[in-house]
Amino acid sequence: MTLFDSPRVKEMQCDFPGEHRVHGSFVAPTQGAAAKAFKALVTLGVSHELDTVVEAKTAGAAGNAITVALTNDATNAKAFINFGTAGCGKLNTIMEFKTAGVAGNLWKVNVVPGSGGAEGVNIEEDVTNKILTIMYETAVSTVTNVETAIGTTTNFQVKTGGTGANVLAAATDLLEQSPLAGGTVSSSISRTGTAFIIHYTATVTTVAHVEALIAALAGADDIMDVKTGGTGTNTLVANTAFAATSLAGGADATVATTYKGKGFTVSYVAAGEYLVTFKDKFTALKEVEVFACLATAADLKVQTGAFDLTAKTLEIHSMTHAGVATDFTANAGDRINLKAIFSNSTGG
Amino acid sequence: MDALTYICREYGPNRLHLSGSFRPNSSSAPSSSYYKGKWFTIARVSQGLFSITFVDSVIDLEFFSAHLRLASAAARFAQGGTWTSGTKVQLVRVVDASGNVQDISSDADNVVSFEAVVRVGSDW
Repeated sequence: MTLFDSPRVKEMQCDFPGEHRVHGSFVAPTQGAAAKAFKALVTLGVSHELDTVVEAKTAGAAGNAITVALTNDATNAKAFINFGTAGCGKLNTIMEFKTAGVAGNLWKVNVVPGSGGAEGVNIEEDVTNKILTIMYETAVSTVTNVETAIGTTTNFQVKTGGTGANVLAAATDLLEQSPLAGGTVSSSISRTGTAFIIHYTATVTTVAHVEALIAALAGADDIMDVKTGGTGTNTLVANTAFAATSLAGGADATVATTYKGKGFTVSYVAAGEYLVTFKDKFTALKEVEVFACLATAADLKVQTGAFDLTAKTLEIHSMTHAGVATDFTANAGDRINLKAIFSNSTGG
Repeated sequence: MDALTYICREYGPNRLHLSGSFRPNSSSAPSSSYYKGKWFTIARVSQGLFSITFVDSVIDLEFFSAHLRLASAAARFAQGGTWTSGTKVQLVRVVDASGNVQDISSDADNVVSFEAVVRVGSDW
């Protein structure tokens, strides 16, 4: 005869109207380091130059909400030289390097009187030594002549035209290896909420640039970091871009994984303190009981603590009989038992 | 109606709420004459340690608690032990404030009472 078959068993519904019971037991979660969410960016996009691994600055499951996108839309600055402010008296043109980025900053410019070409101006581009030499015919060549000659070069162009009729003269227009400046890689990183967008320029931005941007995040933006640096010299190309991708693997401090019963979860809070989170919400907690089961006799007991009706949480404290907070071990034979009776009626 | 044999299903489908009590008897086995409740037997395993063997269709024990009632105030506490589903045995012990097991003398008011929520069918 089974328990169910017994004629002595009187089945009955013991609940009062509006009452709900939650029961169960669990192996107490142990203290564990929360994990940081992270993402290896190397597998994203079509090509895989960006081999950096990024991670959430703070450990916890919240880091999984961080997303990263890589877009090829940065605006970089071109290196330039203002001949007028650099020392020329008549040549007041502003000339720039055609390609944006820092490469133009490596160039220097000579402006010297000498034998001329068309209208007395001749230009030589020394790509090896990165020197541009503008030779003009003193008292003959004009600013217009120089600007026309600049337009014939491979790497340079007029950024802002000067006074075209000005005539250059040896006494006023002489520069020796004056550098271009202002060329920058303006790759940037922007954030909206937990969504980051890294803006880069194909064939210009490097992995090192991207990592520097992430490392420089500050203030409210400082929620992501470089976990593992990539190959700094790798240059990003157009196909390196990728759409918003979430970080993953972030986890809060260890939660209980071995449960009996339903309707609640348990997480470790601190030494001798666990937090039960009930899945359903009720109007009141009418009764609660916790009880310790230990594989081996020990000076350890459990006690309920604060209940938060809004958060649906209940504290459980484990302690010695003298009240010293003490953790349970994560032993399958060591269990904390929980029984709670809730009211889901305002009638009590 | 025999109040001791109520099987209340308020803990959900295939869950039963069982309760009972027994009198420790110093270093001797508790007498079945003093059991209250049904569907279990009690044995003394060793000093201060008792086994509660559930009968019938118990598949798993999901909640267990025990409490000690004493004729005179003393630093003695009920503490659960392990549950073994194969034999349907839940251990319960009496400990002092240092966690050392202790026997309790036989007395009408020295009683270990317990309750359990057990699963007797498939999970849901």
